[in-house]
Amino acid sequence: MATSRSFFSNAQIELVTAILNRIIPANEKLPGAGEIAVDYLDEAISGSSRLKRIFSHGLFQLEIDAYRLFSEVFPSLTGEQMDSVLRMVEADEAEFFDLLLRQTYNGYYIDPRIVKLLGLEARPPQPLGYKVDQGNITLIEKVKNRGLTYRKL
Amino acid sequence: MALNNEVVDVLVIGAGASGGAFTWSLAQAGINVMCLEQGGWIDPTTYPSTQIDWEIHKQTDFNPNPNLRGLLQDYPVNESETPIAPLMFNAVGGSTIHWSAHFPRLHPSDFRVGTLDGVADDWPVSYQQLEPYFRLNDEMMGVAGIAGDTAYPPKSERQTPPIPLGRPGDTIVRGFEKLGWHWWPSDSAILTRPYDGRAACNNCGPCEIGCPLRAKASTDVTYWPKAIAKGAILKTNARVREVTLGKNGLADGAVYYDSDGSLQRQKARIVVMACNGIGTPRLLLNSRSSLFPDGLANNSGLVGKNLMFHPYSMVMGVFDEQLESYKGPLGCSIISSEFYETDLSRGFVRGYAFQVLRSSGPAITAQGFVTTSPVPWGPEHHRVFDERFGKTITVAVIGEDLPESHNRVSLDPTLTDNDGIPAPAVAYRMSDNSLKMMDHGIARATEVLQAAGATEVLVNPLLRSAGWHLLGTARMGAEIGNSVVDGYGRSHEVKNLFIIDGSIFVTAGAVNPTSTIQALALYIADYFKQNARHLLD
Repeated sequence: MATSRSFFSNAQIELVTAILNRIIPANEKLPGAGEIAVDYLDEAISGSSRLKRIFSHGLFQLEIDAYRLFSEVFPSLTGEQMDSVLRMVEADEAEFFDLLLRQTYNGYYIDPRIVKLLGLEARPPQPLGYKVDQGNITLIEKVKNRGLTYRKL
Repeated sequence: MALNNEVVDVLVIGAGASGGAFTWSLAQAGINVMCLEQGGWIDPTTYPSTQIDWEIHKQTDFNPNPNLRGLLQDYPVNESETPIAPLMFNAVGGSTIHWSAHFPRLHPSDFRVGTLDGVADDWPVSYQQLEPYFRLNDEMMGVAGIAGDTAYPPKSERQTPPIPLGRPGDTIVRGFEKLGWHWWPSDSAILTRPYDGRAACNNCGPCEIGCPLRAKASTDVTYWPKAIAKGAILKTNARVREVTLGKNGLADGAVYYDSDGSLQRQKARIVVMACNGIGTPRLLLNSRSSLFPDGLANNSGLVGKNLMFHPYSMVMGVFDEQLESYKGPLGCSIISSEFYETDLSRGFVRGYAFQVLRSSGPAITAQGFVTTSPVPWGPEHHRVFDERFGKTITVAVIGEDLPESHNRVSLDPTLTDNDGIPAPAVAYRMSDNSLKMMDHGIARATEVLQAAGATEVLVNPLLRSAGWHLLGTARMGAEIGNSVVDGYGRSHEVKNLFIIDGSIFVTAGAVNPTSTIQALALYIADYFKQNARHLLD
């Protein structure tokens, strides 16, 4: 059973998990965002009064849209029905949806489990850095052969 | 208010790119100089690229936009009347903390646009006059690159070899060569070998959240330690409210809030503004007196006007092969000056440069990076993410916007920082010339990406979060009616007030301005030293 977080109530956790699993669905290699990013989203929203206001309103509107379209609560809808609700919210509540998308992507893609599944090392850029090939610098000779290009005064 | 009775000879306001270079130069000569900086020192080892959630920091506490970052030492900017949001950082090092360190110079023609093209005005200083200062600044900052760029007069040997091009560089060079267009490995203020006690870059990627290795030249690791060793005094967490005026009509110091929020007063014989193209007009406009009711040194009404940003269009190519473009300094690989100089047959005057960008980590890639096209949500998400991650090269089109008096910085009537100092309000709109220029640049950038093999090209015609370059709001010139300062940054109206930051640019050129800002600051510092006795009398 879901336990409530700083911002989301128990009921909202079920709702948000369902939403996130439609934004980034699971595939054969990767889990859906509902399994990964709910805690991140909760923390990000609870730290910002602006996000709290926008998410409270946006989630409320989403629940209303789901019921109006299909007479069901969002988590009980089929996948296709959920997507049509999300498309409606995307069009009508653009600011909320943009933030929902960005925060979901943030929570998903900074998670070391996902980073590893993408085939990357789950580590920050520093202190190890990366090796990058020098590249073919000798091609500057071709540029030189084309002559000076700056405007003479 | 606490009054510090000691009068310093020179008081510099702002410890960023220009303030660091200028203060060092004066301290070298034994001049008594103090700098006030509203931010503090940042320990480079604490930069977020050492943390797993670095991409979140890039969007929050290391966001280049002060309104989104909102730290105590920041001031807000009303950006509701501009399509380009001003970006800046407040700390010792200023915006060089978060810059990409792409380090081109303005071109010789940039200083003569009035004569050559009949637009705007010539600068009262030439490329030739600045050349020794460009060279000195290169030595102080440490530049990676290769001398011999055909778009410039000869430069001295660069301090270290160029930033590695990697697969993205090799790929885009194929496109440039297919078209026969100019390109060159960028001059970058990033070390690729140890130099001057600093370590070499390890290609970690996100230079814009600070460099823990000190390989990237921010002035807190280049100029400031040397300036302080020579006796310069740097007061941090000292937020200037206004420059004060003496009875003789000369500037006599500044009033500032210290870290406790207490008001302090510092007296000085000469005051030097180095607060960037928004911060400098803001403070001057807030320094009102009976002699200068519209702001200090502003009886001309020109302070704050003629703001230039460089509009940026972002053209992102998607390639089939894995380029690992998230590795290596984001903003530094290739520059192209192919469309830099005026060619009126293109339908606009002046020109633009291409700056080739690498990419970012997974979270910012998913959000579309510098485009307005995030990876779509839903069933297509994983496929499109796979198509893009590490496989994009972005050609940034950086255009020269000309000075126009309606593009301006003023004081907001209600918005303030947390000490109650009025915040700046910015009004800016794109000119027809700029719009035509950017359209041309987008088409050419698309062409070079396709020539390099891009399978898809995404265009952001005007990047909002692109106000890195804050220029022109206290311009140089010979005459009092059309400029705020003379050719040495000295106010026409207040003889002991100097301005040394990007505010004094007469025109913007079409390249990142920091090397030119710093060369100008060193040039003015030399004038200052040669005339110190006379100036300090």
